[in-house]
Amino acid sequence: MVSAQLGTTFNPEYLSMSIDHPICEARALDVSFGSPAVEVLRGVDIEVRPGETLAILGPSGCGKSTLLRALCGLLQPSGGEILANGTRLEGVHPGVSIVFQSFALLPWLSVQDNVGLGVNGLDLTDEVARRRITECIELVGLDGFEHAFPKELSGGMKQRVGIARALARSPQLLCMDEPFSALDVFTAETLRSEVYRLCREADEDLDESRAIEGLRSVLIITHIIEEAVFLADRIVVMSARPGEVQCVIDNTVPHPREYHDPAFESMVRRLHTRIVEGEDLDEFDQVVGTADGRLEVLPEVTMSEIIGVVEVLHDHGNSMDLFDLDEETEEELGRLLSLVKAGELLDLVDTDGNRVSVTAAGTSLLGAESSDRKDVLASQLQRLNVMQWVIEQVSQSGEDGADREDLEVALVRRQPHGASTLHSLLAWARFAEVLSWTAEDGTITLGGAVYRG
Amino acid sequence: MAIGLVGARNLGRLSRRSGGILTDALLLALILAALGVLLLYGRQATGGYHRAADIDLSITSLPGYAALSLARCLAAFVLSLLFTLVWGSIAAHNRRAERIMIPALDILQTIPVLSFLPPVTLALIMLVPGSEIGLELACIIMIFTGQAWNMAFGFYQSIRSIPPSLYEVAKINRLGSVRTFLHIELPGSMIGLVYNSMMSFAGGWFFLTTIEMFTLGQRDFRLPGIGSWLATAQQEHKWGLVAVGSLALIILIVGTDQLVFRPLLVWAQRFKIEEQESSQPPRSWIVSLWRRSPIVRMLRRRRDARLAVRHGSQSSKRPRRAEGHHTALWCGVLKPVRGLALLAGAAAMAWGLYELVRLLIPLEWSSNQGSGWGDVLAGLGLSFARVVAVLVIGSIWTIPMGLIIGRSSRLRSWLGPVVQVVASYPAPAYFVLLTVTLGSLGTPFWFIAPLLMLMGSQWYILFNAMGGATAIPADLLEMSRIQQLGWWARFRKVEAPAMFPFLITGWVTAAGGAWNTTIVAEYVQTSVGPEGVHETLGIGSLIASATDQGDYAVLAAATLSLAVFVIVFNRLVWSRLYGLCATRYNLQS
Repeated sequence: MVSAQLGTTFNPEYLSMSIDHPICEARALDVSFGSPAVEVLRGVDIEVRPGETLAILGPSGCGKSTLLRALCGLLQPSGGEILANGTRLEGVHPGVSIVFQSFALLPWLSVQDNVGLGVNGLDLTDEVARRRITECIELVGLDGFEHAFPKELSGGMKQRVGIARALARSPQLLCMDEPFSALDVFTAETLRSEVYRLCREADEDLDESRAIEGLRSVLIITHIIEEAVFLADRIVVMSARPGEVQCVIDNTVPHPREYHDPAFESMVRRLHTRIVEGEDLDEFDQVVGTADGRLEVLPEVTMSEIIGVVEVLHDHGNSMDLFDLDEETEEELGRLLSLVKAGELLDLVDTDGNRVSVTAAGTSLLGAESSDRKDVLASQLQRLNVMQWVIEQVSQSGEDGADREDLEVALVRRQPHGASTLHSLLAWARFAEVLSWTAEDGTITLGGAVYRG
Repeated sequence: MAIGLVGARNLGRLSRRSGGILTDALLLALILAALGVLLLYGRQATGGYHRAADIDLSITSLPGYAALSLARCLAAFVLSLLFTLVWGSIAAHNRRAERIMIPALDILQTIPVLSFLPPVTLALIMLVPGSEIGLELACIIMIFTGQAWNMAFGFYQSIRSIPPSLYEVAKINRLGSVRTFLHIELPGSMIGLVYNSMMSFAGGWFFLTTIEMFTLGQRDFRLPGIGSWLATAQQEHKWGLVAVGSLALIILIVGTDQLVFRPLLVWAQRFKIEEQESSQPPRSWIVSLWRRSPIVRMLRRRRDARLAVRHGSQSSKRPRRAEGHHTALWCGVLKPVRGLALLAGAAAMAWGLYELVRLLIPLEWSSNQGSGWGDVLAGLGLSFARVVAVLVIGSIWTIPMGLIIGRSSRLRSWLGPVVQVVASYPAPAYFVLLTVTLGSLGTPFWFIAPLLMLMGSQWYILFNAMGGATAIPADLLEMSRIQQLGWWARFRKVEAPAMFPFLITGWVTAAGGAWNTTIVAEYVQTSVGPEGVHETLGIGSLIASATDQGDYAVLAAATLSLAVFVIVFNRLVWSRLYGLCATRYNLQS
């Protein structure tokens, strides 16, 4: 990537802003959607400081993208406030631009015109604007493709257009919403190192060459630990349902960063441990072994996946480190944690710190014949309070069975994640033939008789 | 084809929309109130128009007439397009407006075009007296009612399906609402717009013969055009001229389709949102010809060069700061204005409904000189039976036919266009011919009427059966061969369920078409004068004869019952079947 001299006019709105204020700041931010309201973000406090690259790391569904949109002023928070350069943000943040996961290019405009959208509304002369467009296209290495249309480009090239469009605005803050996750592994890697160089140049330009004029900070959203460690100066770790900031970690890995550098690897492990610990504290203790009859929150995973995890553990001597299990299964960490949590709820696995091991029930499940497996699972399911509760409801509703929607309404009243819990529970119970339910009329009955024939 | 084309797509949405019965009732009342006011005007309009333009049945006049008809369709189309852009974008952006505007389209398209004909014509003639302009306007508005609803709904849906990230791009880059519309919404919905324009324009021809020439009470209305030319030729039993006129009409229809809409459809592909190339993009010979031409190529190269020079910034110089202030000001003014408008609207609605009720009150259960409520209900029942018969008979031949054509790419490639031409030819244009021919063989008219309805609507089932047959996954068919299923088992277990969503669309569209066709199929005038009238009791013949005799009470009663019946039937039957499609017969999941 070449460092190029971008246009000379400075966006005057930035001049009045003090360097000391964070470019963007969320204070006690709450976001809820729909009615009845589903809480997506709760009490989020973060700030993007001038000159830093900040990564927001979290499992899917933790509200990362929502947070980004709230910070940019694209959606109205339901509580708390957003500050831009120290003042309360009204409307869209004047100094941000976004690189989208889905590229968000207009298919009917050429590369040049798509990038041209980036300078819309800026107070530039035609001459300067044109030069800036050309320079941004060169900066991402797309010279020669000015007149091509998005559909003629590969995924990686499309994202380069997306980056050029965002840079053309010469933003204070460049937001990247999972910018590499729609790309194949190799393209993602190439683009990631180019963005790394871009961030580094933006860093240095504060003192000298002003390579990318105006750009001070980068905010990147990701679910990949390595990506965060590779790019960011600080990493915000988020947990899901509702999205909360779990911790903020300073990334001390020295530049230039390499994946196999010991410092890099130890940072990755450290983050890994923090994420797992956070999950432990937040949810496992809360629900496992609830003697008081509280209805458990079940993660949205399938029974075959849970059994799959037990099988993998079994193949590795019945006990494994979470980090190694993650490597082995190539699952996203957030999802793997959900699976382990589900296994723990069913007492098929047990966790001790970072160590996951197979329980006696888990061993007998794997040892059983396929027809007996359902019986093992059924008896494990009966241990759940929420299972007992559902069985009770269904047996009270008589011959015709219970209505799924009624049950969902009742469960939502008892615990906040009733809908997804019921969804998982019904799937598990159907798998174990404890319950059966027909999707068309939505009735739930006891036993697995209906679908056996 | 008002009812048909939109109905199919609306219902998919309806099944997802819960409640809304109150909205439906309110909107129905509103539209009926409008009808009431129009009818009131129509009744008062007595003088004014006398002249029946003579239709010159010489072949040399035909091109001129064809051009006039085409101009009417185009004018109506421009009107529809304007309506579409305004109605569709308001509905897509304003949540509260959406809740009213979308069901309103749904209800508007269940009211048959021809019920609007007498009041609209008379009102316009009264407004623009002493010339043919009023009649022309009425005719254009009639064609408009056959085109607009479908296009507006399609446009609304296209806007709604634009990915939210594109809107975020617009916001971050401060495009403003006008440029968001021009750069994102209009291009983003271009394919839907062109496609629906094509369908609507084709639908506009359907009632041409009826709209260009009709009688209202004692008055005979005619406009020079290919529709009235054909109608006159048929009523005078000049079959040679009918053949020539039909050929001209086919040329006109196929011509506009091939020369205008196909190229437009190909052009619109550049606005496709999914950024991959589709495996089978639409093709047009005229576009290929155009692209292959060396002159065009040269011109294009020069234009590209020019554009490259000109392109640069699209910056608007001044940031608009006063916007917020303006909005606040507007809100202050708008609030009382909106309240007043609402009040006025409610008053107007009450008045319209009052007029409608006043019109309906004298109507007895059964009266000896005309028709009463009893006839209306009997007619509704009989027409419903005919519609059901049309669907059953239509399905019996079109489903196997569609399977055969749809499954063989060779058959599809040469039979497809033939079916398209046959289907796009407006069936009412040969109803007189069919009635006379079958009548001379001694066929009773009660048997001919459903046959005419069948001619008008079976194509929708055939098209969808073909589409459904093409969409059956190849691995399901291979599986049925491996399992050695017989043809009946294969049809029952594999083909019919896989085609089911397509067939539902076909049936809904065909039923809509059949209801609309009742008006021209249950009442056919084969020659001038009362002895040339063939009719059989039905809702369509009641509407048509009430139009002829200027019996507004019956017209209102029949329209009202038909609209209510169709709406209730849509909600109770079709939208449930759509729900079933989305769950059990969904091949995606």
